[in-house]
Amino acid sequence: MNRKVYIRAAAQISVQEPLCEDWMLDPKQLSGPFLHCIDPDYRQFFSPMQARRMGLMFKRAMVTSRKVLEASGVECPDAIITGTALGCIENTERFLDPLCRGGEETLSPTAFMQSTHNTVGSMVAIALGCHGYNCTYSQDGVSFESTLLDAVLQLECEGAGNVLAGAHDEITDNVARLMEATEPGGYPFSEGSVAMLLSAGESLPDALCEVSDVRILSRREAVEEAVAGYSAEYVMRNDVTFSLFGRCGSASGLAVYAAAEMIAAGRYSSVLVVNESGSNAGLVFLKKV
Amino acid sequence: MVDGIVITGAGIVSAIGVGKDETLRSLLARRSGLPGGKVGLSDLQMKTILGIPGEETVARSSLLGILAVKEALQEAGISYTGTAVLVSGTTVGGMDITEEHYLEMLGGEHPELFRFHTCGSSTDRIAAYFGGFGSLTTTSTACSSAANSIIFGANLIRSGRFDVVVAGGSECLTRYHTAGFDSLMILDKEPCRPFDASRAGLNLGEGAGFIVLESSAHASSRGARVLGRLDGWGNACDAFHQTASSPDGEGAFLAMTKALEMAGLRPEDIDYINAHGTGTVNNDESESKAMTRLFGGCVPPVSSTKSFTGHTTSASGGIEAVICLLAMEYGFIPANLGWKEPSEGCIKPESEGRSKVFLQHVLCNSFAFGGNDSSLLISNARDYE
Repeated sequence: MNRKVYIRAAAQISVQEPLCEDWMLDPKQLSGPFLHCIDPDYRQFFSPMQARRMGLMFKRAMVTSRKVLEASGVECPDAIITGTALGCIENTERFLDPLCRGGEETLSPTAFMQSTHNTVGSMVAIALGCHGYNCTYSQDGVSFESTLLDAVLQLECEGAGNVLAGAHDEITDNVARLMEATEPGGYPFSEGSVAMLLSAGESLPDALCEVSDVRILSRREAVEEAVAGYSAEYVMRNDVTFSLFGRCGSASGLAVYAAAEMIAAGRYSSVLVVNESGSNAGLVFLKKV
Repeated sequence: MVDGIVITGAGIVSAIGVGKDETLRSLLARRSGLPGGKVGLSDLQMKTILGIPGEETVARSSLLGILAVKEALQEAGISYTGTAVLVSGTTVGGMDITEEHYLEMLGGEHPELFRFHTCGSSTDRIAAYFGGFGSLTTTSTACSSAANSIIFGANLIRSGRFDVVVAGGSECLTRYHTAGFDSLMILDKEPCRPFDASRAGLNLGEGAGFIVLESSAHASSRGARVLGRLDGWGNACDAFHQTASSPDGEGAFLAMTKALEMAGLRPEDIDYINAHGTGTVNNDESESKAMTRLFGGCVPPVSSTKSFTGHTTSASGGIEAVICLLAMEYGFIPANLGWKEPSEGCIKPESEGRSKVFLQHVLCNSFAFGGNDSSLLISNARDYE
């Protein structure tokens, strides 16, 4: 049996119009030092009491996750895998700032416990009551590629049928300033959330696309040779990704979402998403079903 | 799919020693590194040992990681890492640098130091020391990060994608997570006492533990000495609460059960469990419940070596996997220091430890915030004679 891995559904909340693909007809031009997501009205998704207890990144993760689960008719996935470059940076700052200013007595235990990188992935599991495999990756710009690779492994090796894979990053004023100092110039810094539902099978005609390959290359000199090896109809690189979604730790996840939707819309038969935003490079090769 | 994953190298650094030899001596002599939990080398001392210029900014988690990866690679006899994968687990990443310079950075002084903040940058620096790896990534599931690195690494090999993966985790003590655990009121100022009636919390520790994973075929083709086999693993989510473990230990139970099923073993085949055993009231009770559910009245010998090293959080799964390998190679069960009195709802650990035992199969547990629970099943390279 030749089981292939498919992206069945994908959803995003980003600097483009959220939870839809309409933005693809006329993408927003990005400007400014940094951009927050265009958030949907969360009152349609959460009760006021639920909403009060949730940070924005978790709301985005929950809404995008639920959307892809519903679209795929899956209640509880076999695995939940999450990528985040900076983690829960807002809660990290909420704890770090008073700590550095000597205000030990004002430290919030909630900010601390919701500042670890696995907060989003585990909160999604708690909300879904999902006891399956659960992991979180944090490898700067290739956090999503790590997530996708693990999703493929879960489907290939661990017998998972459905995997919920996501990438979630948020930005704050302070972090945008620090990032600008680290990587000056270029597209605005940004944030974004993307969720995908992946399944394995011999054939899934309704899927958006097939995930043919995922690689993380740590040796940058090997990238162009690898790119040439794929003979992709369209190669989507960082300049396109960043012009659409801004510079964001989860940008490659958003790029894969966009590529999957382009393939599903019949624009290309194959897309290679090449991500060279940090010290490592990510390659994701998608093909039409 | 590749059958058989073996361990051909191991490296460890913690409060009880730098390297396997010193760690072994401390374990056998019951010499604890608590309550401090600190590795006895300054950043500068580590840089000197490693030949890294003293003025270079390097996260402490990277330095600890380099020490452990170096030992693991040396033992495995691997000098070229360009086709291997590095999978590290960390949560702190470069927080030691961030917290030292945070206010200055916000004030515009050396804001570029922020690039050391991320978990990924900590792993990048470890890889760079060895001239780079072919591929790398970082898991960050809080206190089970290293165990999940090992699971991901094993699947990379199992799928046939790579022959050699160096996997584990690294974490250094920071004010950030010390204050964090303190705010949750689960730190004990005295040495921790896992599973004891008087236990009152955990001690934080630091360090790194990495193992070299190889397909069995690759290891034998190059004549590598096999230290142990990774025969099974389980990762499950407790899906109960962000920081508390469920009263029935569901995540822990599922993780251990999956590991046994994958290895095709029965509960009675397990000779030792290196417990997560943090020493908090909640964890030890929940983990005990999970063990009792799985093993019934015949729970194998259990100890928590966090009573030696402290809770090394993201590194703990790597450090404790290496301790399990030492226990198998030298035939002993590490003590569970500080245990005096049985606790209602808790298993009774091996307080004194045991010597002259043969351990065929062991479980190594790592649980985390968010209910990210994982268990590794490691088997002895030799069969009982």
